Amino acid sequence: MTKKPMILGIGGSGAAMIEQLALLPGIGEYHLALVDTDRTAIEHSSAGFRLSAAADWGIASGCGCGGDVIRGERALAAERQSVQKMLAEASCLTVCGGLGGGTATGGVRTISSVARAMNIPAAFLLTTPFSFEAYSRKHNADECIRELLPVVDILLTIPNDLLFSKLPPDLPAAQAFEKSALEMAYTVFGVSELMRCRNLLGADYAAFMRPVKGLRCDCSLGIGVADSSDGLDRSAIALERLLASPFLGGPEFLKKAETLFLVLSGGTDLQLAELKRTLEMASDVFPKKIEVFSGAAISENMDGRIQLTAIAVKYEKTPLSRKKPVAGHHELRQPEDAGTGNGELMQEEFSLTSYSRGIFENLPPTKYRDEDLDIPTFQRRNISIDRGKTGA
Amino acid sequence: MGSAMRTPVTVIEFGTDKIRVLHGNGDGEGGVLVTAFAEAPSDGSVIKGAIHDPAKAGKILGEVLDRTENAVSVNDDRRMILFLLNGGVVNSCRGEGTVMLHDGGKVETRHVEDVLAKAHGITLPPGMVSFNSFDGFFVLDRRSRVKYPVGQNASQLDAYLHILTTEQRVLDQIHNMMFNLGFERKGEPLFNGVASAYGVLRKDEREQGALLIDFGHGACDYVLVCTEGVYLSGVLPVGVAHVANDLAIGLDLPYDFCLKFLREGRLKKMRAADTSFLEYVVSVTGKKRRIPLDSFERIIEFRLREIYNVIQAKVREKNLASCMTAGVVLCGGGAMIEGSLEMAKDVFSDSAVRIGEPFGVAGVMNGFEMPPPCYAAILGALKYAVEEVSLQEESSMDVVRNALSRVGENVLSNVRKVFGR
Repeated sequence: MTKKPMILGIGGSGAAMIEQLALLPGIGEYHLALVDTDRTAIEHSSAGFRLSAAADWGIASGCGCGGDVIRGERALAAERQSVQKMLAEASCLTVCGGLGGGTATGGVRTISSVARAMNIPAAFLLTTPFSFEAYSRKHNADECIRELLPVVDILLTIPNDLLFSKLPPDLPAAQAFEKSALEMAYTVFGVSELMRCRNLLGADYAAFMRPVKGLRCDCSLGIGVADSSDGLDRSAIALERLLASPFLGGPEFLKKAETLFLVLSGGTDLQLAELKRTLEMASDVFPKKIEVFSGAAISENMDGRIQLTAIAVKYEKTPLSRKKPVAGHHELRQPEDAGTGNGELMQEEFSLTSYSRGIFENLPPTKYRDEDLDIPTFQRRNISIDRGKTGA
Repeated sequence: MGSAMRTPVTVIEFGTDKIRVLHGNGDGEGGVLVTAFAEAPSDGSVIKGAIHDPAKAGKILGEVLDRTENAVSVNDDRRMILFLLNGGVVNSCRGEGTVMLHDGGKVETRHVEDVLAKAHGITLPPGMVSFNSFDGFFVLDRRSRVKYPVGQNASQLDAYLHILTTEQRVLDQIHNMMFNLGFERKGEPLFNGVASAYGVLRKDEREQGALLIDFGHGACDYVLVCTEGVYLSGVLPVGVAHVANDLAIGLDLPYDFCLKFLREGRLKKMRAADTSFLEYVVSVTGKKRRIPLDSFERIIEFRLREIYNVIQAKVREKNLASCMTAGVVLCGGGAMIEGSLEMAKDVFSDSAVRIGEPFGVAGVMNGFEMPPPCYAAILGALKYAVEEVSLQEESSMDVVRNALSRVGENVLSNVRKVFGR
């Protein structure tokens, strides 16, 4: 089988996105892959590559991992070779899924590790939990993002709250989720096209990577698609539809956005004037302070159509990767937002976790910027590690 | 010069993992020969690169010397003895000197001697002494940075030296140890990082600028060399032992098991064999624990990334990133850990990164059981010593050395260009 760009969905959300992607025109240029711990989802998937990972070693339960990150991690770790074989067919990779549960949150690390080891350019587009979901899901998602940030080139997180905030309140839930999955699928497709196609402008993988590498960013996305049947001015129609996209976050999000990726995908009939006009119109519409990275991709499969994809990026001011690590001794900590002046009383915290220094226990600490470097790095960064499972 | 080149040299390395002794000499034709080598585990006498238990370290050193004594006599009057200094006890500072030229404006050797003497005249806190000094660079008229100022026109000559310091008690400790072992002559100290740089950096790297990182068992030494001068050096007392310790704590495994896991490259071998997890038999219960290899990888990556990030931060603090045109060179046992080179490439993404192996040394090479980068420091020190011996022959260097007064008690400071002329 020849190598092609691959779009890989992981977990339940990833499965939904893959199903929507399978219906898009032009998707034939891609391998579609799905990795999940839910065997039923795998069996019903349209993906060409499917991997069912067992959440319990030795027991092919196939019923998912119940939101347990460790189980999700173990499941994918056990299938590393299968993942490797799957990714061997990929020339570049886009990974999509939803963080907070078990399979995607635990398993995405294995995917990133294998992609890195195989030198496959990879972009990760992952949603983060709703604000009304359990704290543990948000915590799991944050931990996963913090760990991924230093090791992946492109990581874009899209808050579920944003995805659904602009939809009509009376829209049935099932339709809302379907629409969200469709919008995500379009975005994943747009990003993948940027990596895959013959790029006419500078915004290729490296340009895409540079503004986001190592930084936690929340994204909103807008898609506008128009074809020849929409008339001569299809670029204006596509832009209109993009701006009307409920997942772009509206003016409130755009005011806070700092970077915008704008990708125009078209067919061989895309004219220079049309390309120029479309990107100029799109750039003019967004607030001036936003830094715009434009790209255009040509694909024969897009003949007669154009798709305008916008990803607006808002950076977290204190990136997760620079979150203050634990100094290594019991101390009274102020919550990070203490003293913000919102009138609420904040409970101070004692750290109850003890940190071992192992063989350096009775030696003077090695101090660097208030940290004791003799304490394991993963402990100071509050990263939980799977110690494995004891069997019979 | 031929006879001087054959002056026997003994190098002693007090490593956190091994205490080593190397004997050698020049071959009279510009080459360097090893005549004997032995090593033994330091068994906790050296921690994070610094001697922790002098009595035990002395005993082990004595045993190692005994294994080489058939080959050499350490009390040969001509013998030059060098010991490597490492660990958190080593600090560095910059010495600056200025000389105004009033007589015609051409820089002469005496001006260089004077400015180097002034640059060396730093005031150190009580108990601290300088043990190595290396040319950083010269500046003419506060404008032009040059390597060889003699013969150039200027009205002001500035010199910047890179000076390494340590506590007097550290040197006394080592001298006493060696005296007790029967050495009649005091050894000369050499910073471990400089020795490694001597061992593995190529001429073009020394000219264009390269950051050498000796990733050892107990500490990482780093030296930035540019235009054949030392611009920056330091010790981060974190090494392979920390990586193994992290694995032991994170995965609840014995430390020795984790160290062996790293040294044998088991992660790479198991991945190549398509294994996803390691089966560890818990000795007390006999039960097997299956630990994902991904967990090993994550713990190792976190630590390696942190080490390289800290060193990178040190370089950036001094605004010296632009002086690393030739990139980064890794050596030491830590460079051989799986993922170490890749992680360094990721952190120093703007620079070329390679693993350096010592070169330019031949002779009796049995006894070197670990990969060559692990011996960068001791072999580099031998090269340094042989060149030092040859330079002592030459009259200009004799004048420079004689012009300097001894700094500190009974410590000879070497002011020299680092990497030959």
